[in-house]
Amino acid sequence: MAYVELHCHSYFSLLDGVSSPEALVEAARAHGHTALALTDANSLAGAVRFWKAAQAADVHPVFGAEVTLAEGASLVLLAQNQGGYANLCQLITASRLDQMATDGDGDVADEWPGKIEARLTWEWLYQHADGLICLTGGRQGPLDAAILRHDFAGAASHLQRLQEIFGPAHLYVELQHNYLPQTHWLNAQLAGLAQQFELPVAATGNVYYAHPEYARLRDCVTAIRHQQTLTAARRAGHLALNSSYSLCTPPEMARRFAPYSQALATTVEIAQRCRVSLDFSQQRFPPFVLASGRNEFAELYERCHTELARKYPDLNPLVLSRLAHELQVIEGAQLAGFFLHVAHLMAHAASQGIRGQGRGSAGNSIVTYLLGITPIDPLAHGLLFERFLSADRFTAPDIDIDFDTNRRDELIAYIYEHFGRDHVAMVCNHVTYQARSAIQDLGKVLGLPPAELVALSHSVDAHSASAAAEQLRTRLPQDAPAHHPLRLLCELLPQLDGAPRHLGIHNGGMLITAQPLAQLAPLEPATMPGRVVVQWDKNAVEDCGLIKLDVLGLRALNVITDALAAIERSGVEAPDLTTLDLADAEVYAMIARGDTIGASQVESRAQMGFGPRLKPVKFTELMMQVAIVRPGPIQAGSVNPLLRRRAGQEAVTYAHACLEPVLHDTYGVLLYQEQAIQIAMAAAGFTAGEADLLRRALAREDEATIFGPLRQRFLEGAAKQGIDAAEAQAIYQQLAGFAGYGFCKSHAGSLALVAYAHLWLKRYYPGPFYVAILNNQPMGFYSPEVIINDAKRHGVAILSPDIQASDYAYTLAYDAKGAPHLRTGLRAVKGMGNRAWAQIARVRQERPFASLADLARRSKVPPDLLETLIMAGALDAFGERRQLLWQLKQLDLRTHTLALPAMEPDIALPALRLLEQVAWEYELIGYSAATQILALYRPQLRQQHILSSWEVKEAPAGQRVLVAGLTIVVQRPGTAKGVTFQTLEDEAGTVDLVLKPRVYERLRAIVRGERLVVASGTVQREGGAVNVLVGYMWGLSAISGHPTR
Amino acid sequence: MTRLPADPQPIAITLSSQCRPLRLSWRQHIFVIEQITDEWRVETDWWLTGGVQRRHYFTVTTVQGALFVIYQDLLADQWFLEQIYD
Repeated sequence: MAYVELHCHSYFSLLDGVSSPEALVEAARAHGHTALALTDANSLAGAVRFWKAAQAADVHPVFGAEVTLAEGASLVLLAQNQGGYANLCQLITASRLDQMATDGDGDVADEWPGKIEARLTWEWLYQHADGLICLTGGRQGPLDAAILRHDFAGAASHLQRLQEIFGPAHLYVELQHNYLPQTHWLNAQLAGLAQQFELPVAATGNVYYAHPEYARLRDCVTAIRHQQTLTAARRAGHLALNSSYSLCTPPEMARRFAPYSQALATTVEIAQRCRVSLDFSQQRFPPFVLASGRNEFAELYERCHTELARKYPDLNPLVLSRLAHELQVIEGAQLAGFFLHVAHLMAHAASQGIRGQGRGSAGNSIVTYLLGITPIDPLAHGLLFERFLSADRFTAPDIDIDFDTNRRDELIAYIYEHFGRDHVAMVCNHVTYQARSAIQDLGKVLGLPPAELVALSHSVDAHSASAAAEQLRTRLPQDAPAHHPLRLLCELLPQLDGAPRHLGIHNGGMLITAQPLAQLAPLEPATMPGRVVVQWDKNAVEDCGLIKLDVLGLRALNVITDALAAIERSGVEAPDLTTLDLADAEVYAMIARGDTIGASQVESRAQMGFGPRLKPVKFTELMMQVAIVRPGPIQAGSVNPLLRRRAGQEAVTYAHACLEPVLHDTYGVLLYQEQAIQIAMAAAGFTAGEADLLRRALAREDEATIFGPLRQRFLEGAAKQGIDAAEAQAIYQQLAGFAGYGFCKSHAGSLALVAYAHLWLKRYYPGPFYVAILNNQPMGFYSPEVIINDAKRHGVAILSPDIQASDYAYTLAYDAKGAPHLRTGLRAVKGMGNRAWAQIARVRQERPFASLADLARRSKVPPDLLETLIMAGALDAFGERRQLLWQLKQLDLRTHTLALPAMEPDIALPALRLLEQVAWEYELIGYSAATQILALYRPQLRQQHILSSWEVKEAPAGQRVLVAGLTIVVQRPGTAKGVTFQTLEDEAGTVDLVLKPRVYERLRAIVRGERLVVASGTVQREGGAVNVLVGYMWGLSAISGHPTR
Repeated sequence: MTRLPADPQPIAITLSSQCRPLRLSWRQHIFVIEQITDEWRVETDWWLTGGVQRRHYFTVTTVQGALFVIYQDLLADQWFLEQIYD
């Protein structure tokens, strides 16, 4: 007896179903089912994955959902056609969004409810039933519930209502048999009722997992959902009575439904009636409306050619042919409107003074460059268009745009307004179980004590839950019984691997569609006020032919905007950074001496160590530096060959002569994704589309594809190009070895451009640069303390916070000689929030504060904050800090009293020692504007022959040294085989320490526990980089005693 | 009258080709099953000491006019009588 399962939940029925759509399809195929429906609870989140898997397995997909009605019962709705699918999406959307109170304009009122339970009204069902087939929902449905409470009239009334809504041809009475008590009786009643209404019956398995062995995991996720242990969840009646909710074989279903064989046959008929495609490539983007009524492509063509003269004054045939080629591809893919829309957004941002620039593969296009979407000239940097779009194989273009973080929301609001709220939503992000979250959640429901769970979580460093299970198994006693919690945990973890935990919001992915979005995919409110997300993630969006636009926030751009504004404020015209000469030797000299603190992309410890070794002298080399100092190339061992070859210490070789033009700029090292595409085209005659397919397989480390058909195609293609088999093998081997770490060259270009702008500002406008960096904290690699001391070393004087002079943010002023002075903003003081600042600013505007008492009375700042301000030095204008603290205690801060002077006479208190003062400032601001703390220890350090960072950098390789400093970075990167890197800072600069694994293990408590340390070790030099290979380390107090000042 | 044996009583069962109970034998009496009126499965708390129990229960009426609640221990593949209504 043939049978199709029509009521089936995947793990996208969050914390209820436990199998992936792919696993369910595979089980259906293995059981010989010709079709399968996916009916997740109020969700189509798994629909696209289900669709793809079903197509691959030759199983006919039926799209549906289990929708929850207002009273809590649920129905199964199946989409019979595209109209039904659109209605289903709208119903699921309405089941959440319709609950939200709206104001007169249809916008959601003030209170944003965030995530809410789905509840669908009958009114919506009446209005959107076309094209849908309804099953009555089984035990969760309104019909069964009425019968089980012997309300037969109520059951008939429900059925009557459903028949009115869906009509007799689209309504089926659902029979289930999950071996629950009263099933025989219930099904007999349902069959009788169906007969009475002349309706067909349909059997379903109410599936929650592909295979019975996942029943235990379903118990666990049910308990997780109810936030109970398994025992408590059982007691509360939340767990299933048995494990009969797996996808069954047709014979098993025939056994369960022996008296109702027609109910099985009906399922096949229903599935055959349902025909829906999720190919929405025609709905990609709304048309770009042109006033003149001209077509989009003509407009795009004209805009690009108008801009040509400005960006390519010495126009040459190469530029024209590149533009013609790109326009042809864009026209073929019908994407002209999309490019015009993105250009419009960029123009709008610019008109509002919002800095933005495209990043990623879009930078490979001359069209995006001409439209002002991306900042890099693709021809000048040899960027390959096919990495972005190719003529022979359509892939959705990926345009990511970075905007000032502080103003990104303005742009998002504009996008909603411009396209209409019905056409825009944020793409979701399915937050999935990984090692630690899976251990935590499963461990809790298994009843493991919290302390043990924390210990278990910390004992694994695996990323996936499966790998964590492997690591935990080693801790399992050999004689542990079957029900031992750790054994159970190890068994369950792999089953939970990758399952979605909850629905989050993508960083900046926005879906904008021609058709109202709620007809293509369900929407639901996100936690973030005002944000609505589509239930599909970025992969699903791409797989069904839609295009998302990434609207991202980048603080590094804020820095540029703020620095330029600070320049303007100083009365100087701000430079135009879009026309910067990218060959400024001063900028490259900074990289070569590791003077890059604060500069985006090149400031990390690893980058600061690499710059002096590479010593880049041109922009393409800066791009290379940005791309190569990453875990992938480091692990693949690409870094040292590149450095040696560039220095002429090693010959540049190529696996075949045809690779030389492709790899020449990177000294024969395969670094960029674009190079992989070019190699496949040059060596094996791949088309651009085929080459990009290989590039994607490499990026995903998809070994089946890399070592399967593509390899064969490559070797055959290479043979046709006259490359002998051994050479072809070697080239392919190089490509395969490249898997996973390639960096998009145009992306490297965008990032390098920001890095260059930062370095240039740091070099020529240090005051504005540092004020911008400090006002955008937290960002980058270092704390404000490091930035401040770097600023001092670059001639920027740092002033302490001052209640009379400081704003909330850092501010910049210049002395008579034009030297910059950076005033610490009050925001830097611990505990100072916007509210307290507003109080201070309001009354200070009236007149300056005359004293501590005046400040306290007029601003009404709480005493504990006043105490902090005193200790941080912000009230030094009113007197010595210890004296001020004494006065504070004497103040009568009650309101409505006369402003009498303090009654207690001032007493003579000893002034603070400088070290105490600095220690307070470090504690409350994070640094001391007056001095770097090591300067106070310097006399004793000298006596003990402990060097400064500057002296270490001057020392010859191999010299044994002692150096002291404040720890600013400790890193133990996975790529470094257990080696730990520590950076110390003193009043002269920074010094990098290297600790081998055994040394680190011995010194771990000091490295992690002491902020001020003294290290003993040997100076190492490589290129221009200097390190100290540590042998031993002490806490500074242990070796230096107390500073004298 | 309802009889509740203190402990489930082992019984012998004759099954149909579809593995459905046809006859049961208890204390040397044979009862012919007329109808299976209900059936359900119960699985106990697999995470606790003692291990999981899996039982398939049947409520059956016999030609003699009795109603039995019997179950199959699915792990041990043994049959038991739990309740009698006669």
